[in-house]
Amino acid sequence: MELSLPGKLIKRLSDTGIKSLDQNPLRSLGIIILTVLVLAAVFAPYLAPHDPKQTGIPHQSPSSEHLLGTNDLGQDVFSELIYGTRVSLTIGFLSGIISIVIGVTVGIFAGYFRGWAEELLMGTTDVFLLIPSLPLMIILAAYLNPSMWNIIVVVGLLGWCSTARLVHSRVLQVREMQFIESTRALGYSDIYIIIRHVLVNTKDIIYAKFSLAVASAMLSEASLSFLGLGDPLNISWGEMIHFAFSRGGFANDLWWWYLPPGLMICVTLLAFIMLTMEGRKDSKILELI
Amino acid sequence: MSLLKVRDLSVTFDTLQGPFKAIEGIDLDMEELDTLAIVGESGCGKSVLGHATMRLLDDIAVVRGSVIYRGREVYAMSQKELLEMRGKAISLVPQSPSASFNPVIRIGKQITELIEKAGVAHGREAEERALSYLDYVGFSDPHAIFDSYPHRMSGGMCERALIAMSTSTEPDLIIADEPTKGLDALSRKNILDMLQRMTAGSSLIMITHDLKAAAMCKRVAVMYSGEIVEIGPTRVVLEHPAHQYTRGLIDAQPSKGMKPIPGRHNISHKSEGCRFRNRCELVQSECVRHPLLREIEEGHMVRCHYA
Repeated sequence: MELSLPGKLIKRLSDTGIKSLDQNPLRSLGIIILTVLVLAAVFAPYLAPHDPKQTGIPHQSPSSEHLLGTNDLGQDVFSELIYGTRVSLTIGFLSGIISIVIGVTVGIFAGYFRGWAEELLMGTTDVFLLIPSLPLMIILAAYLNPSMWNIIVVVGLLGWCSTARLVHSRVLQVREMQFIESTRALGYSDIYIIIRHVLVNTKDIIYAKFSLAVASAMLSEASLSFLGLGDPLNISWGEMIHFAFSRGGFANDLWWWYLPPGLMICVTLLAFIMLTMEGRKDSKILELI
Repeated sequence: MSLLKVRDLSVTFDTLQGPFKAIEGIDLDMEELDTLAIVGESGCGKSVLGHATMRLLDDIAVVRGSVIYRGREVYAMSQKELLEMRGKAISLVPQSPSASFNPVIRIGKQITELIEKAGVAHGREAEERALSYLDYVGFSDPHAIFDSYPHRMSGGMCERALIAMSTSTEPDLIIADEPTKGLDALSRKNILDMLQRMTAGSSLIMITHDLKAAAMCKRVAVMYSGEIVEIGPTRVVLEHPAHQYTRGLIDAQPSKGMKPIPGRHNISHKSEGCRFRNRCELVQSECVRHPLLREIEEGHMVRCHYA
């Protein structure tokens, strides 16, 4: 009996998909990059060599003291970049969670119950899809106070439509499967069937979509921040580029100021997209990208 | 009080081609510990009848008539009563066993959940019960099956696991929809023996087109084109069939020389009169009138003017 326990544990672990990682280098790379970024965000105060708000000699080029030089106020760009990871990832994750929760709920209810619920929910989704989201985000962000939380809500509330459509079509497929009918015959309630059976069979799509939703939320946030609609108290990567642009970083070609945040945005988005990559060619998830 | 009483049950599907009557005028009585086989060819409405009994049909199905389970009208039950009845009082063993389990949940977990939902047992006790039922249906290593995902099992194994699941709540009535479909002769015999053993404490309605399987039930109902054309004790119906369609079915068995029934079953066209008359060798002038199900001897009823 004592011997069977670790064996079972290993079996459970391998079922979580950890074992499949060695066959999927892209996903492994994505996970490694994101782990580094999340650790950097969590331990920012310990990793940053300087206080990002502390001013000093401006326009210094990279040196051992200031790894990525300083900006026009003499603030350390490298430290600002590390603290920016915190802001960018927080906004990305929270907006991603909001958009996924709304999108999955709408998609599942519309797909499972069909009828008028489907008409209403998917009709609403179509209306939201019709609205050009970036201009609307700009308007909303401009009218609301420039705070991180407002950005999270605005980006999250406008990003759920494609998730809803995708989950809806997957649920339409799942609900016609034989085992859903069998489960109904066993007397389970609709809510139970949705949570226990439909959601579980939709989770591959939800995970992939969540990853992409975080990536697109980060991109929306960077766009808004670049336009100067970000939170001045919580400097994100997008805002760093905004300041580099508005305060002469581009004009004076201070590459260490504007290039790193841009690269960080690219690398992070790439990591999220790599996370959704499947090893198998026939995977449904590839169709999402 | 009888266990299940079906009266004048009709199901009409609203299709794009207009209304389609799947079953019509079905009367059935099931006593406690009764076993009934419903036989007939594909499309005769056997499965629809099974689903209609449990009120499982979609909204596009218009159901008329009544299904009374232990004195309670199934079609007047609240959603809550209905959910309680399904799985606990009446269990369905669905067709296509491999597709009837959730592919991403372990077999044991699915059985345990049903036992808990039915309130028969909880936690550790429910797991023990699931294991013992997997043992009863003849798995040599119930623990391995308990931890298996459905795709790791063959059709016959899934059928066994399904029967274990459906019987684990000790329902009063089990409706088994084609339990021997797609199995070879040996597995079929094993499944039937096991089914008989497992349902010893319940009533059973077995939907099948396999007369060998039907022979294990006390009574047989033969359906044709949405109607019961003959019903009676198994021995009487299979050895002294009164309806020409039943005779045709018996002669069509491989052991009887596989003689096909002439003509084709036209499911969309239902004219007045006897529905079998365009395929019946003994057709006569009277057959343009629709025959009623009448008792020709104790418990043996036939829908034919000349039986």
